[in-house]
Amino acid sequence: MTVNRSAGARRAAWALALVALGLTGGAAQAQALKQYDSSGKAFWKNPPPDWFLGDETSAQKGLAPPANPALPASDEELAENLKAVKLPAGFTISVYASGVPEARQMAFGDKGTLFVGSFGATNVYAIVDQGGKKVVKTILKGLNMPTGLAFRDGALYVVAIDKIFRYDNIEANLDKPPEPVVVYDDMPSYVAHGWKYLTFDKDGWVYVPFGPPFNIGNPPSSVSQVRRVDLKTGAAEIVALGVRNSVGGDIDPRTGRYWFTENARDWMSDDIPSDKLNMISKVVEHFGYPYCHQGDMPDPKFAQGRSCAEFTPPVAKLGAHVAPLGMKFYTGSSFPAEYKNNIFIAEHGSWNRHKYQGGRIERVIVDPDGKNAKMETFASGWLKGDRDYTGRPADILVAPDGSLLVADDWAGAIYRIAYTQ
Amino acid sequence: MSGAGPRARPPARSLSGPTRAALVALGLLASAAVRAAEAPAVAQACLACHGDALAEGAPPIAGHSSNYIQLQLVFFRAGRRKNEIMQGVAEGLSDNDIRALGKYFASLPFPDPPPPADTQPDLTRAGATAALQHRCAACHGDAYLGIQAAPRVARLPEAYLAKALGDYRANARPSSGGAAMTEVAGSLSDADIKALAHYLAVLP
Repeated sequence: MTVNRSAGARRAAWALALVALGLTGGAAQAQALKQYDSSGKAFWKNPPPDWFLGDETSAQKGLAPPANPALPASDEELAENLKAVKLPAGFTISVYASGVPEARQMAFGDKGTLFVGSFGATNVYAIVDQGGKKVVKTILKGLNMPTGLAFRDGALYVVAIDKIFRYDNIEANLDKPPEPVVVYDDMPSYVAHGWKYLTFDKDGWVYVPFGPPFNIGNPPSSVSQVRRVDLKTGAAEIVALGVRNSVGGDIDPRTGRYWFTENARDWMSDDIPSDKLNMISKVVEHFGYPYCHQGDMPDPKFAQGRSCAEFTPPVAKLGAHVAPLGMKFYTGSSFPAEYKNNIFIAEHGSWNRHKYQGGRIERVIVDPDGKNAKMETFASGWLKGDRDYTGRPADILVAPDGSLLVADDWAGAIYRIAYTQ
Repeated sequence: MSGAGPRARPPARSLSGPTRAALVALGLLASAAVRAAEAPAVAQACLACHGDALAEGAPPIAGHSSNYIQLQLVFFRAGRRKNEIMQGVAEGLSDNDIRALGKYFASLPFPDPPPPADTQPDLTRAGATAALQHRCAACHGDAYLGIQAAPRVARLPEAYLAKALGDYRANARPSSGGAAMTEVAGSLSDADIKALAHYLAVLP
């Protein structure tokens, strides 16, 4: 299934999309779904006001996403925060770099530069080693939610909502990055759930998630999917449908298959539905949204007669409102052998829950076919009290030396977890 | 960790009249005053426009949460929120200056004189409807006194509120909390903005 890139066909696809959404949650099962006409451009530029905070019950009032601290945490604060972090025996955590506001996806360049995207800060950073000290350079500014980035063949690729940019020969030009080339832009411009994550596969195609600009509704399939894109030609194919909000994924080194995290709907309750770890075993699979959550829970309003049996269940249920974001298979060799090919997931933590959970790093041990998934907490301690963070893990990266890097967009820092025995 | 929680919020209304006299007599006011952080030297520049008498166009900043104040200063410093005077002021601030300013202004009581008389009740009603439709209270609270980095919007100057909403709509002012304000303001009409600003400015 190829996504046609011609503007005419794209307009036609939009015009056909009619989006339905329920206005109130709770026991409103019998209530008719509200219809929206999504055929106009303005609709997608500014989705209706009741889309994001449209389903809360009175008991859930005030559970809004917390704004991150204005400034990255100081070195003293970070040192204090990390004292509370719990790890398995033999592992240690330290600050790799501080002063990295709203740090999101990370990627290493061939020459050892660590590139880091950001959320609202509009920046892309390059972290380089100068005489044993990590120096953070802000190499790009003013991008629209440049959360996702990847490095390949000397070039840095950055996704900023509706555009993927390529910066050639970037590591030789950190102080004066070249003008970018727009290599893909067949993406809608809305911001909510429009921030993305990039993962190259071995063929050099990149996986790009598309989430709908609301909590729950009947979205056009074009905004609830994962695409695989060849950035050289602009060719694209849909590899997954029925995906809500995915901001993390990785290629299984054992099989070449794409695995991805997915954030489940909000406003249902503190404890359901569960967020997910998914795996694409064939093209195209439907992962259930908006009809079915966590593989076995029909949506109270949006099931619309569909059965969960029609959809691909998750490999693992990660828990409600844990907010799994970046993930990586462990491909290094400095951790004990049993960690080989395990998955590490950065859980950003709750906002839509009275007592937050997540805000930690989970380890998933699972067979290549997705069977026998076992999950345990690998690193935790960033959650304080019921609803306060000292940090929020947003991405994971295996460093060339086998240590694990963690991007924290709350404290604005990168941590390094090493096995030291 | 931001210090933006409710613990950091001072009493919503300043004390006056008999209450104040009673507290002074009890020696309570002295201990209340200790809660205000010491004014950092850099705060003097702020007070010229945001002090007891507000300069034209300058909103009150005392009593907002520390994180909200810090976020705005970071936005001005980065040039992401535009205002010639504020960008000039923020340019020279260090991270520690910004932390100190957030802490100081958050420690002050919100100047909360009685709202202006409402001479346009129809506009107020339209504003109340728009506020409900756009779910303003979900982040700013039922009394619009602010929750964490979502600032207090009750009884701010009407012209300032209208400008803020217009700036969010035009994407000329960055939002925090996952672009919430950019999203919400995107679909506001001029009439919505006029009504919302009026409604919030005259809230009893």
